[in-house]
Amino acid sequence: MFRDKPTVHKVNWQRLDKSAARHVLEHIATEVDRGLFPEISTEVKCQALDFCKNFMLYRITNYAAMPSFRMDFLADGDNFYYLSGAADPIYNVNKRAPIALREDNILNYLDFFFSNVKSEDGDIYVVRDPSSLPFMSSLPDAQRQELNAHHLKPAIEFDAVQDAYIVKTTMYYAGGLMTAVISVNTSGEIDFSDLQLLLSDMTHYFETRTAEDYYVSA
Amino acid sequence: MSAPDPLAKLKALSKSSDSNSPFRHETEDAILKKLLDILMRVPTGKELVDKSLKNGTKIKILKGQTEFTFSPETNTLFIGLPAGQTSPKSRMLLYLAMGLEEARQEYEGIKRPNANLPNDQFSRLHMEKQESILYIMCLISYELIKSLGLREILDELAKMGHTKLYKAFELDINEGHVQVKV
Repeated sequence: MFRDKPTVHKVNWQRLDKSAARHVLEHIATEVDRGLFPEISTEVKCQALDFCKNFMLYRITNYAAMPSFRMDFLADGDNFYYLSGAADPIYNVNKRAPIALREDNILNYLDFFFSNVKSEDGDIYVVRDPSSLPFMSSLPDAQRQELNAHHLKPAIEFDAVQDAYIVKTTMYYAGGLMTAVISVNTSGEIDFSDLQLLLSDMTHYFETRTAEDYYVSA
Repeated sequence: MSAPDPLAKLKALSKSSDSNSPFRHETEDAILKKLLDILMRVPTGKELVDKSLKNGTKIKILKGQTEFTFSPETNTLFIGLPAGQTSPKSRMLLYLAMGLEEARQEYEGIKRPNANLPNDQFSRLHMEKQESILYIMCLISYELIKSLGLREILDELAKMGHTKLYKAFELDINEGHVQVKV
């Protein structure tokens, strides 16, 4: 997988003790199948998010299932919002929490958002350093130099008129590299503009078939 | 087929997923129909689906990034697809078959090991179950590719890290060590 490693999920997980874990499982058991998370084989842990004061990221994992089965929630201890792959749960928490975006945490927020909101085209992430991309070593020298020359290191500024942070950056999307302007308003809502292929001859890195194409051929 | 505008697809990330349930996928019925229609067109897929119907296994599409999981307590197989997405991925065919194989194991008495077992017993039981699930994954892949021409399954196996395993499986078939019906 071609990725710059986001840092947001990597540190500071706190494992809940049995009593606190049971409290969490009881909260989510009303709608989700109770059998998915037997207490004996389920771990509940949480992590603070630097852009969210009152809600934390909760990860519930059943290690007896193969592959291990997990669900992530945003929660304040009593209200649990399942991270479903769409933006709604994050936006709902942003309104309730509320979200606290700053110039120094906006990239963490984007990492978190793209980790939990999924496009039909697969992974999306902000590329901070193109040298960390695994395919760099397989590119011809000239193309590598061109990529480095055109790479847009994430640049953040606040636009008072739009009341939004504007992030100009290289991003990985649809199996390739693009430059884009990502606008994040103070409610955490995201919009995109000015999407451009970073290198015009990198189209072979793009996934050209859609899932529907698979079924047309079946 | 014309390629959708990538910017429009990115902008759609901010749209609501239009669903009342936080867990059940909003297009569960349509996705399941597509997956089952295809899986039942290959011999092992049909056999797995027929057995699951006979044994009352329920199949649900869960919102989110989960791959698949089987709940022995409620005899239910869950397969994940992020909310808002309406096209089932070809990989979900493999997850469906693998999950149905775990359901078959369960009602044939090969139970999920208890977490209280000593580590060596727990691991051994896990590995035995997993071996048969991975065998079904390879067999279904082979049948989908040979019978239906779904060569994109090879891409999915690569993304799942199983290319070497599948190549070894194909070699076993070519050398007559494994008999298949296609």
